[in-house]
Amino acid sequence: METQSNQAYLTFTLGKETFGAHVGSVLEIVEVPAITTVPQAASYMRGVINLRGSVLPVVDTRIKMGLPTQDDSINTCIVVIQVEQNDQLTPLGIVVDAIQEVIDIQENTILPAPSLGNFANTLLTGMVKHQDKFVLLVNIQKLFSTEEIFELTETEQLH
Amino acid sequence: MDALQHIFKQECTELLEKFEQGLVQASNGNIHNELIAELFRSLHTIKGSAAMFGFQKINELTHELEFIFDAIRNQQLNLSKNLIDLSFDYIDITRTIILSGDENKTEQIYLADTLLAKIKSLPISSTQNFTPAKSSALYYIHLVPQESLFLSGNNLLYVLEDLLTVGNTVCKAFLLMPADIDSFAFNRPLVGFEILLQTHASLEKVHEQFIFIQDHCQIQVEEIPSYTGNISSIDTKHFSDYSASTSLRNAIYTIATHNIENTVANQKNHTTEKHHHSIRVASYKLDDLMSLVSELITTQAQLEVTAEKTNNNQLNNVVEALQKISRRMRDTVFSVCLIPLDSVLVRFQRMVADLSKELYKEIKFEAVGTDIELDKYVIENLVDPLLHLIRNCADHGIEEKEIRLQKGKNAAGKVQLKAYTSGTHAILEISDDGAGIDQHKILHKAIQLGLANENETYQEEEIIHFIFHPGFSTAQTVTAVSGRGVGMDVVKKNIEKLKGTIKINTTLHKGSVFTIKLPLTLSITEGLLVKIGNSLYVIPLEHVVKCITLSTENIQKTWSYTEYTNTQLPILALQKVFYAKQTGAYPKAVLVEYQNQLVGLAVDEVVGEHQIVLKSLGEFYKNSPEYGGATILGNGQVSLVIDVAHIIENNINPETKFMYGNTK
Repeated sequence: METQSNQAYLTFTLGKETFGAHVGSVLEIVEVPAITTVPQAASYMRGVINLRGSVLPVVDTRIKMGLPTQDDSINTCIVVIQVEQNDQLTPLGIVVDAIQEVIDIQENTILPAPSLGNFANTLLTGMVKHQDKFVLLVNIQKLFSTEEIFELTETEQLH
Repeated sequence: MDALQHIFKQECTELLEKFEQGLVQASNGNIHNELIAELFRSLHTIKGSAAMFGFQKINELTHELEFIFDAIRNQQLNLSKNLIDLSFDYIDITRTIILSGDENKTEQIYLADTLLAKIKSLPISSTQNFTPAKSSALYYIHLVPQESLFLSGNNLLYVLEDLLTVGNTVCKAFLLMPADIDSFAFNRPLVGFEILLQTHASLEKVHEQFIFIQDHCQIQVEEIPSYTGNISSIDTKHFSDYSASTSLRNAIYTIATHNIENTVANQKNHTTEKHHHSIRVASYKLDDLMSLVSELITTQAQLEVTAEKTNNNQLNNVVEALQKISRRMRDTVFSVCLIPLDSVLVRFQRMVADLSKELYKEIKFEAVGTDIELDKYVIENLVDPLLHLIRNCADHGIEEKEIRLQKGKNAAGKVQLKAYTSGTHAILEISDDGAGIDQHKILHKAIQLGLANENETYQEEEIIHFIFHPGFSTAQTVTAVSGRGVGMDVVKKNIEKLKGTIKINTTLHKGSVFTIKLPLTLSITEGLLVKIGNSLYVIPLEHVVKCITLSTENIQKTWSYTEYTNTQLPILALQKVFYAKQTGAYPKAVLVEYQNQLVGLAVDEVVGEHQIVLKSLGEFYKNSPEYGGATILGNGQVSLVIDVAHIIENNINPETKFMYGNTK
């Protein structure tokens, strides 16, 4: 009975907050290798890395989420996720400050997402209390789909 | 069900293509039994699957046509020009029905019914009385004349000749006695005959042939059961191989058993051959295999670099062996993804045939060297541009018959598709011996459209290139054939998408040649590794003309000039474009060709040539067209591949048009 409503989430930190991503969209976690920057591309696109022979684009999640940038630490790593692209799943790397753990969350404990300033509500699927801390559940598909990324580029250019 | 229907569609399309190919062959006068049988088989399979998937109209149509082809197969009907045309119509109608997946559209029903009526009205009459070989038997006849034959008044040779009316024969004479001059007598027969007779007739019938001479000859007739071939097709040399002393009887038995073995072997060959044809692999699997092999190559290069550092000889040997294997593997996998240009040829032949009817012109289509193999992706994307170019040649190029005769040309115009490889490029030439392109007309039109300036003088090549502008058409009247939307600009774009180029050579009244140059593989190319700031970049070698060292110590601006062979050469500083810090004085410049002029790309250092496996940067970088992709270097680093045309274009000041006009 319990297993039906249980969902596994990978939690990671960015700044002070802890975020959770559904393990269904997570492919793997890799250390930060040498990143080749792509000049003249959007600022939140950190560059490309060599993931076992294929070229993986990497997003600087801090810039993407409007957090101040900081140098990579020993805990910094890249979460390789899958996003849907024109009906195709494309791998994408996202840089996070640190990986926490994989937690099981009962669906009925998920609370509605808070309104987080400029952080659009639709990008969060909800939040959950885990060991006295709030974990924000991110809608990976929404947050990192290219349409969303290009939308943000346009608004950036307006400023 | 949907998946099944998809398979049906695919299968039918393939069968139709095969049928079409056969028909084209037949219309070229190359009709033989094997071909007819194959045409019949294709129809038969189409009929079967159409019925299974509920395409009643196709089923009905195919059934009628199959009936006709059955008659042709049984030699009751000739494959006439009219029939071939009807069959082509059949292909078109069936194809549209299959593509739309719906056969109940009124238009299609009408077309199908008209064709059905036409097919049904065909007379199936026996025009030829040919003895089919399949039910015939082979008889061996041993005939020894006796003395009384000469007195009976029968001429043995007439009897033998009469045998020809019964079937096919092979006849061999043998000496009855040693030709000893002492025992020679005029009234005694000296030769006997061995005859092989292949016929439908029964044994009695064969015996009947000898009714007048049987009393004066020893005649033995026996049937040779194991022989299934056609004796007229047996090379008579075959028989002479057997020395005069062995009898024809033994010979034919040897051949017969041989024949059986051969048939068995042939069947085996046939099945293996069919296997070659019928291995069908979903294209995504090939793509997967390709990317895996590319990965293998890059990993192997990394291993090589790492192994070299260890100075471990054993390890280095293993790495070297691995390198050989992976190279071979790469070549094999790449060849798997190659298909011959021939595979799409039938569409061109068909179109030219249709066009010559439609335009009342006599046009011959010639294909030379089309057995070259190209990437399947390239072929798929090449069909439309080629169709367009060939159509243009036939429509605009080739003149009317009368005009051609006036000009002293052959009444029949020629459109040729010639393919060959040159280095790492495949060259396709589409040529016609028609009117050529009138430059004055082009220029006039270009001025009208505001593409050209009236007061300026243009070079020949520049004028011709105006036809690649969107919306450019000089056709005075838009015919049904040309001006169907796909313009020369689309042709050029499609070819550029394949990283190819197109050039035109034309001579008024002599004809035009369109030359398409394509890289043989898209994913592996040669590149020039350059250093800009602290990063390595790759410039595709196909664009690179030369490398020079600049005389200026530091580059200040994005664009500058340098003197090169007495001309002012524009230099684009990639350091500025990529916001990189210049490392080291006296930067180098890689001279590349951009729209027929030389442009220098300033870099900090030229590292060297490098074979690269090109990878797409993906959707996330689709707003960065200045990169053609990325590649992974031996050390595992990702290096960006510069798209030369885009990076220059992007840095041209749109107002001053920096690049344009400075050479004039």
